[in-house]
Amino acid sequence: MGLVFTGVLSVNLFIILGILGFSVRPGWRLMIVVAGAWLALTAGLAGWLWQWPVIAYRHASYKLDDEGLEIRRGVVWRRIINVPRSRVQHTDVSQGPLERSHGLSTLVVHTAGTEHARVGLPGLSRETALSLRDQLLPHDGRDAV
Amino acid sequence: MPSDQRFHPLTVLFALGGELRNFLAPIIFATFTARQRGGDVQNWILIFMIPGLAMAIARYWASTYRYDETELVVRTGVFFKNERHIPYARIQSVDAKQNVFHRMFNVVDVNVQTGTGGEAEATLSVLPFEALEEMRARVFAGKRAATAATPTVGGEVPAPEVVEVAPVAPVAAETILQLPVRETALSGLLDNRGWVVIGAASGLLWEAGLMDRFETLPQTSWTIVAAIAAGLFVVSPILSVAWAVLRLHGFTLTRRGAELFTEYGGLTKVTATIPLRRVQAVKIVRGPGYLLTKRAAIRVDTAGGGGASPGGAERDWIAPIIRNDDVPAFVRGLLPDVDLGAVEWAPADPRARVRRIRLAVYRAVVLGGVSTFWLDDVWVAGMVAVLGVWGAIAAHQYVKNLGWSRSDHAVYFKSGWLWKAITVVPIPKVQSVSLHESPFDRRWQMASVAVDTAGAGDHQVDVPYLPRDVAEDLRTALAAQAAATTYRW
Repeated sequence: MGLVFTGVLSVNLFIILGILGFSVRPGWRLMIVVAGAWLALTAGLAGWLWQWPVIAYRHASYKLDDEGLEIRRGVVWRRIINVPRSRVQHTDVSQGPLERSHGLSTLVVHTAGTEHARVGLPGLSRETALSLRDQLLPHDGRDAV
Repeated sequence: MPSDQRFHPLTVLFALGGELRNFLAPIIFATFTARQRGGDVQNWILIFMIPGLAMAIARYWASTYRYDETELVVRTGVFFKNERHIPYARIQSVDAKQNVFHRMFNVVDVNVQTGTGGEAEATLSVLPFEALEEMRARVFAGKRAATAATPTVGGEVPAPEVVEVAPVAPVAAETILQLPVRETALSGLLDNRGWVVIGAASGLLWEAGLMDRFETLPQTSWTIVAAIAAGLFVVSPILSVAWAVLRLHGFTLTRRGAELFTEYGGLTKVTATIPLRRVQAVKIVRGPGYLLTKRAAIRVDTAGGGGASPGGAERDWIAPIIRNDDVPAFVRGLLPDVDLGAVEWAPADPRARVRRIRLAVYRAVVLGGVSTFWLDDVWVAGMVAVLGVWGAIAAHQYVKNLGWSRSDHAVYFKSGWLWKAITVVPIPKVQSVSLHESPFDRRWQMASVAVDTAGAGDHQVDVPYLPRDVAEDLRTALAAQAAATTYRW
């Protein structure tokens, strides 16, 4: 994904620069500088987008204990969210086509809240998602309405 | 293992029908235009329907449901597969919808609702009629089984016992608040909403061309200022007082058992019922006028969902105006465990002042820099100075007035300087707790902690500028407290 995005962006930039080059007709030196800048930008962007998922993955974690589910996410803007067991209304285990090809699933926990009515936990293996879901079920029936 | 059940085969037909309805307008349009051109529309419609038909069949094959021991499991999705588990204990209602076509084939649309508000958690369209009966029987048997297993956790929730079972015998009504004309007039004066009316009226006049007549009047800047001042300080207050007296005429708030009733209105009589257990948060709001006259306005956020009022959250003013001295007792009447008078407010991180002042100064400088294009340097310097000083005062006051507190029963948050607001959320109404750290927060070792409830409205509990460790303690403590209580609708 990242590479595709980089490719599209770089090609666009290349075209724009090309058109500019034709209309302005700058000197050789400027052209070399601009081309160098373009190469550096493309390489940087590619490297960044290549590494970004790794960084994001390193900053994402979850914990399930007696109290409930705790999810940590975000690299720049960080967020920790706690959903107590007794507030879980129902759960989804969903799988998109890309996720399915890699045996992954997303667990979505629904609460009665407004801002965080759906709390998603993507990037789980299918088995983990299913077992987490089973562990989140109300066992004791304590939360009868 | 319980077996998966498919929907009724007619699902395909009904899905197509639904799609057709979406296309109805374009089809009619196309038929008309095609008749003029002599084209063959029907074939085109058929071609358009083929992907729809394929999708409907695929969806029908992919959709199943089954009854597990403690939950209803619904699978949907052809490409994006989804498996939803809905515990019986959480299901509020199993609703059925039948239109003429449904009745013709003896099938139903079934909506399974839990408390999340908004849309149904599962829409099974369409099922044979017998399946609805089976679902109702199974869900409510499952619900009963779950309830029977309840080791009664007492005392935490101010919830009435079972509501559905029997119509409760009439309880004596107790009047909590009654507003005399003097107070409603005062509230009108303090809110001063009259300028809205003036604005709308002058807009209308302008549109109607009546304003042209005024153009013959001498148009010095002083007459305009005088006119605006008269509107703002004379006409507008009179209008707002009149409006408030009329609107809030005979305002009474009564309590009958676990329900609140408000009743007011001179022209249109408004009555509202607020079950206390639906109250998600209590908010005490004070604008500048209220601060001067030692009054407050009190609002509750309620959650809809399930049964009576589906479709989410509402806000209700239960005390449009009330004396400051009466506020703690009033709130205790709603939430018995909450004593506003005894709350010990914890402050925000004092370094927040520096952050906010810096922000204000940056903003002033940027604004000044931009305006050098239009304004003289002297004016720019003056503007930057005024904005900077104002920003510093505002920053100081904002941070000074931030506060939060946590007790065994509730979490409190207050903020605001000219407009003050206090929000109280009972712990059982806390749905989730989150901690947020922006890059700027991290640079200062700060964080904010927010509490999510089922009631939507402004001034939610979202405490900014906490020292990182305090925020972390608050988050874990609140999560533990919430986990130890149960939430009831």
